[in-house]
Amino acid sequence: MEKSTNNQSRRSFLKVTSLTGGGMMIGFSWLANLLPNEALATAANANDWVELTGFIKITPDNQVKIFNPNPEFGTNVMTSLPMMVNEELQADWSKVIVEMGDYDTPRFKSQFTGGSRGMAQGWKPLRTAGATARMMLMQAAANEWNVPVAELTVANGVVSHKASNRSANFGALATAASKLTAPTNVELKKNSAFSLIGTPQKNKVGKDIVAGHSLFTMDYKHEGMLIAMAIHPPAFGMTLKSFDATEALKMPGIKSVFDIQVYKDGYKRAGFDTRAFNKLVVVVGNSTWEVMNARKKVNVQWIPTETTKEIVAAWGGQREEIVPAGLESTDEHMKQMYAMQQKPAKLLRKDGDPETAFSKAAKVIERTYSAPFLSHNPMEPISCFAHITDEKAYFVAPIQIPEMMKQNIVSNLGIPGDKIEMKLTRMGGGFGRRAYGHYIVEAGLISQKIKAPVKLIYTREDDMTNGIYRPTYMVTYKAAIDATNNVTAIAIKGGGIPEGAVHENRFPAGAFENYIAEGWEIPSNITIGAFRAPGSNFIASAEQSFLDELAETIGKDPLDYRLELLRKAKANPVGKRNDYDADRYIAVLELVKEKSNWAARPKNAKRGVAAYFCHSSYAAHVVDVTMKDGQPVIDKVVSAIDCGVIVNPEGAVNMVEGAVVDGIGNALYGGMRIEKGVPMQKNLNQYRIIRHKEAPKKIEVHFVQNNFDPTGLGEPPFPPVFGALANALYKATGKRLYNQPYLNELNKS
Amino acid sequence: MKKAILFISLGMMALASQSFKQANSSSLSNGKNVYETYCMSCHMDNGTGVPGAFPSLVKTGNLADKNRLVKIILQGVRGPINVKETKYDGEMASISLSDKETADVINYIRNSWGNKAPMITVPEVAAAKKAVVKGYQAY
Amino acid sequence: MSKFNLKVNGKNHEVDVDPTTPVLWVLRDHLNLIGTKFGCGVGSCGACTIHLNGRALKSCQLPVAAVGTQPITTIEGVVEEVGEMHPVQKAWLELDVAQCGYCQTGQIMAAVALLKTKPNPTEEEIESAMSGNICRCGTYVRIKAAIQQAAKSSTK
Repeated sequence: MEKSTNNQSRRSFLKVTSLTGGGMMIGFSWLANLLPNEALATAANANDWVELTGFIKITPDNQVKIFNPNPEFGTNVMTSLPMMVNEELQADWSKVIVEMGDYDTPRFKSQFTGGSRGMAQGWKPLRTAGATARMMLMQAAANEWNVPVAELTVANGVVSHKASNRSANFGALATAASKLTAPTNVELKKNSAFSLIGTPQKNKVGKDIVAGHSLFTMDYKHEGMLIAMAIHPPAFGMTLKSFDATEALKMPGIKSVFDIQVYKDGYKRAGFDTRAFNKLVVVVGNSTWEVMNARKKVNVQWIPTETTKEIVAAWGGQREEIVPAGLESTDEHMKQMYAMQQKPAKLLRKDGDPETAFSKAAKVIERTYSAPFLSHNPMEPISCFAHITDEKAYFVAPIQIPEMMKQNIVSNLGIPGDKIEMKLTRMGGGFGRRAYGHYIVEAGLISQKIKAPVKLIYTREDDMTNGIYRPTYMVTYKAAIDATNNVTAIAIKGGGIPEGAVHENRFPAGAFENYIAEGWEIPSNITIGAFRAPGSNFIASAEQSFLDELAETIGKDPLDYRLELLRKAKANPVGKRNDYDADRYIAVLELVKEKSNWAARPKNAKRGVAAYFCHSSYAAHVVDVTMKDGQPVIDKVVSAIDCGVIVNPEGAVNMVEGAVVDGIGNALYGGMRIEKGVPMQKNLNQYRIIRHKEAPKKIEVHFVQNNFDPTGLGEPPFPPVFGALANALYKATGKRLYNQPYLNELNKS
Repeated sequence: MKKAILFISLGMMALASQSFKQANSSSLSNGKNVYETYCMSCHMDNGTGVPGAFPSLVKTGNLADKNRLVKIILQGVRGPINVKETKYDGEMASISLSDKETADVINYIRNSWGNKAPMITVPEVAAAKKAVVKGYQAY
Repeated sequence: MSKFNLKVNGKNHEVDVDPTTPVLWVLRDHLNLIGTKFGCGVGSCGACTIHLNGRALKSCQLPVAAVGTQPITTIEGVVEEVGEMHPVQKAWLELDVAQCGYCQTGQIMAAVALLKTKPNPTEEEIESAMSGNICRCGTYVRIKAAIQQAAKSSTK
């Protein structure tokens, strides 16, 4: 059996460098000798790395390592954030090694993967770090050569003094540089001087991915590690009463079975502390298959929960959360949501006099939209490694926002904050799910109980039935139209279980003199969490479908009608606050109009358009569909995006393509049905995810070129996909779609 | 007159037969798509399966009962079962297919690789599903 | 627990496991070959795709007892020529396919098997052959392009 690659000696590391330098090792598979990107770097003597700012390490033999602070789940911040550093640092990018930073708030200040904020948050700090380090290296050279810094130039990791024909690479200067005081006055390049940012760059860890290296927590191994799985109630609204593990304990490889309480009584939860079930039965054993078999033999008794009221921390304050008892069902939820629509709701915004406008209207069009709970289903099921000893609490975890877990870990594991060490692995998908790190606490509790290193693994069923879903929603849009075909008022009323999605200050607010938005919520014991563009991912579908239908009713082209409204909102904005920049919104619509050849399309083109603004970026899509045997075939999607300066165009296009596919999949197929508290879709053979055949045949992505500071792409392109698809399907089938998943409505005769 | 009626009714039969063939070939080609997505990776693209792990679907004599096939797709199946004198004691997970997809894939399997069987229809599948699970309702 | 002799990536391995253990877990837990991933356990997602006798197969439901002497290839052993990346892997890198990366080894295994039997697949053939592999991040368009590129550039 081969030795694990992590045990490679320095000598074999040098072998590898000569390998990557061009020589071929005969008789070895390139895979067997290729160390993971990070191991390559750390295979060098750890003491050799010289640190410059918290983000850069350099060895005397000129290896340059740049840290990525933000946990990675597929947006390729592993490449784009270090690109920001290196734009200013100016090392040879082709040789730069990127490394995922550990959980280290003092060093990295912010390690927040979520809200599509990574680009915006890192923009100044990371470039500043790069510039600071470069200035220190230059100063070190200036000191050594006794020349003014102003006479030095830097390129590709080499500092040169042209006048005296001297140069030194970063490696040679690093040690001296690290002894200097970091400058505080750091000037950054002008955008026009960028030589790396804005150029398409390949994923720095691509080789590790295609080779199948150990990148994910699921892959992590540790000496003496045991495997644990947790049994949770089969339904929301149930909790643990008792269990009998007699049979399970007899099974081969099983060490112990016990129960844990995830959060202590009285623990005040913060925003990302959501967990579906607080009491779990844990099975611990030697290997995955053995534990999977043994858990089936544990006899567990569950009892109904009682209604609870908890004070939870909320953004800038706290709120009371009611978690009702009972076994809830989707059919009941729909009835409850319809009922809420008939009752008065909380006023969110009112401009002008919509009541009068509606009473005087020649025509009123009213449409109601709904969407189900969605399960995130990242490809890598939930997992976490923990090894808690007296000396430290060591975690290897996939977690989007590690700093949010600190208080939780301290409180519920009783561990001082400074004893927490967390290695952040690459995540096999997040989509918001892995912002909720309850599994870190669970793994920690298990390790404490068994006094051993342990990897907690959720099976796909455990994961999919574990809540923290995208909420279920309903919203009604109403428009008043007068005798001359003018839209005189818009009314929006909607909510969700357990939270609503109406964003009252977003477009089309500001475009209508008479406007009212109302919202409601229905508490539930079904847990929910942020799902790729929370709120937006539903409300955009309803809003953009309604605008389409409204345009048709008044005889206007749907794309041009949006432009008309935006121009109106720009010229004469209604109300005090409108959360969008009409110019940028217009720009993406005009770009998608041009690139999709919208104006020249045939009259009955099976094509739909939608646009949306959220998480600081603007996105518009035009979708072309055909129906084949009653099933939609997505021929083409043209996307126009404004996310400011694009750091890595290669990654940016990939993100938009992925959002398009994800949007189509969720719009057509996604849905978690609950019956008497039981999630009815338990695995991927029951919960349908879009596959190769169903993806668009062609996706074309265009970016608005401007100089706004970079904003994100993880979420913004996602919400408008749903509406664009629904509008295209209307043209293809004559059927307007109001309730997701759209395929169900399409298939009804 | 009689000749004309005979001619017309023959023509109608030819038309009906042609649209019947079209419906059949559409079901088979759709069924092939479903098979390739959900079944092929275990039962293999030629239906032969993996001996000892995933049963063959080729001329096994096990495909005659369409209600049983609907049930297997809808609910999965657990061994031990015997297929062509080989014992299989594994588990096939259920697959969420629409009534049409179920009909199409059953038609494809039962008419491929030398298998031959009458085509089943979507209403037959819907009825079979209801018989299997009381009050069955897709999402 | 029983002993099994497996041929994986050209090497012989002896494992002592329950006969019902899926090959996926034998690979991951007992042979330290973690390139083959766990996504669902019910043969639906394709993250566990390996080659058995050169044919793409999901390993999460394949009991180790059923393998016998049939050779298994995993991502760790998929090369066309010694010391070189497989053309499919090269194409994957050139076209920057991956997002989170978790499904990609399964996708690559399915693609390699496809190109063995259909060196010049049509778009439809690619879609059919690959439909057993889910990519939750939605990189399907790139995967298809990478397969087409690998087909063009293959030296065979």
